[in-house]
Order: sequence, then C-alpha cells, then structure tokens
Amino acid sequence: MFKIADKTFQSRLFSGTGKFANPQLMTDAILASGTELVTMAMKRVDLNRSDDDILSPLVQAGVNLLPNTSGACTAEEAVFAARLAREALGTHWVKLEIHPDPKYLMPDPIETLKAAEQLVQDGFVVLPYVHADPVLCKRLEQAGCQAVMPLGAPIGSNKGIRTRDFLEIIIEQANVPVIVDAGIGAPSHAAEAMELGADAVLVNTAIAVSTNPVAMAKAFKQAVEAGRMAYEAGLGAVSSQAIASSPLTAFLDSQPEETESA
Amino acid sequence: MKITINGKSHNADAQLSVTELLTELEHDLAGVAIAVNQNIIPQTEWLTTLLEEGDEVALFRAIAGG
Repeated sequence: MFKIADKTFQSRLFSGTGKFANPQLMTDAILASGTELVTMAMKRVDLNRSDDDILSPLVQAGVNLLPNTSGACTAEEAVFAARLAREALGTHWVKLEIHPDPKYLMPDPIETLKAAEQLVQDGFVVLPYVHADPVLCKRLEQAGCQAVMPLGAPIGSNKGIRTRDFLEIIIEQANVPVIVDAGIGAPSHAAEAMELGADAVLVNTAIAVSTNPVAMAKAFKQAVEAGRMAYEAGLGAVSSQAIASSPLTAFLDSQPEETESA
Repeated sequence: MKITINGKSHNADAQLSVTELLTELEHDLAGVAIAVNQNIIPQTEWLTTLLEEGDEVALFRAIAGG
C-alpha cells in the first residue's frame, strides 16, 4: 500500500489503455491486472467517425484516471492539454508527457520542468514522465511534483530496465514516490524495477500487444507483488566471489585408523 | 454564422451556446472538453457561452493511450 498525493493505492501496477485490440479486451486486461490507475490521452474529436468510448468502461471499472499530455511538443501545449483533460475528466491529476521526437519518444527535460512548474501552480497533481536523470527528478520534486516517472527504456520498446544504475540513484534520493514507466516488456522487468525499490511501475505495451493480454496482465500483477515482497524482505548482498552455502569440508576426509579391539 | 469546428467550416445559428452546439452535433456531453479561440470553456459556462462569427471551436475527448 502506498500514497501519491491524497490517494492510497493497494496495487503497485499502473496500466496504460493504448494498443488494445478493442475496449472490451482493454477492460478485461485492466481488471485482471488489479490496477487502480490507468492512463489515457486527449485528442481532437473526429466528428465523422465515432472513436471507441474507453471512458465509460473505465469509470465502471472504478479505476483512477490519469490523463497524459502525449502529443504536446512544448510546455505550453502540455499545459493546454492538461487543462483540457481536467475539464473533460474532472480530475486534477496529470501525467506530464512531452516527447517531440517521434523516433525515440525521449521526454524533453526542459519543457517538462517548465510545464511542471506551471501545472503545480495551477493546482494539478503532476506526475512527470522523464529520463532516469537523478538531477532532473530532484528538480521536479522540488518544483512540487507528487511523484516522478523515470523511464526504463523507450516507450513501446519492451527493452526492459536499461537505466538500472540511475533508477537506483533516483530511488535512493527521492522523497516522492518513484514510478518506473516505459520500456517494461516482461513481468521479470517489472519485478526487477520493484526489487530495486521502485514504488510502482506503469506498463502498457507489454500487456496490450501480448497474444493473451488478460493472462499477461495477471502475470504482471504477480511479478509486481513478488518484486515488492522481495524488496521488503531484504535481498542478499551481491558478491563477485563465491560464498559457500555449507562449511568447506572435504567430503571423504581421511580418518585416523581405528585400533582393533583387543 | 460561420464558425470552424476542429478546423472544418460549419454553419451555425447566431447566438448559439456551446451546449446547443454539442447537442446539434449529436455529441456526448460527457468526457468532452471545449476550447473556443484557444480558451478552454469550463463545463459550468457551456450554457452561457455564446458563439460568434468566425469562432474557432476545438472539441477534445479522452482516447486510449499510455
């Protein structure tokens, strides 16, 4: 159980809503994952066709909604997107996401910090998506962000925790929850992030593109629980040398000869 | 009067409120955000905000995303 701002969460797995084959599958996977918070994006309505309604099933499922500012390329656009989302969804929580480069979708640190400062001032609960930069995460925390979301690897890449060393530093130094977001491609990656001490992980692609998203969602649920349990139980120290599990004795020691009984 | 909605030209009655426009478009009033000339109109002001000639209306809603 952990807190972000004024909300308490039992599940440390957050989920995205993108890339699912259809809203029913999305809803089934979300329910199977046990997640209590999902992300979504904002877009201009296409009046000529009706987009799939994802909002109704999510509201019915009773999960917390975290709109993102995906699509924004500047702080100004992100602030605008956040305010639109606040109006549309009735929440002042926002995942601040500014990634202008379409090839790697790397978050822009400068625009993100600028936008974070404005949105915190405007009363938002800001969860910024950033590279695993310990200095940036500290600056965002100082600006009033209620959590930080450093990446494991590029969005949708399924590469896993490529930023391990820096996530360790961020986790050590953060005074707000650390949610590892992006690049988690397998339950083992999620467990790895949790074993490092992350407070939560956000997974989207790995669940949505799986052949069986509902089963994958369950697998992630278990992995996140296992990883957190292991972290809390206390992982053994890592050594470059072997350390034997039983005393170092030769198996067939030469015994002193027995004297024959008289 | 002529206004644009998400970049497309649209003929609307004069003195149309935002609420009336949405109803006319047969669009769900829930889960939607509206900006007129880049100013976001809060839901509480939809009934009282009247559109004018040349207004650029932008309509947004939540979609799937990570």
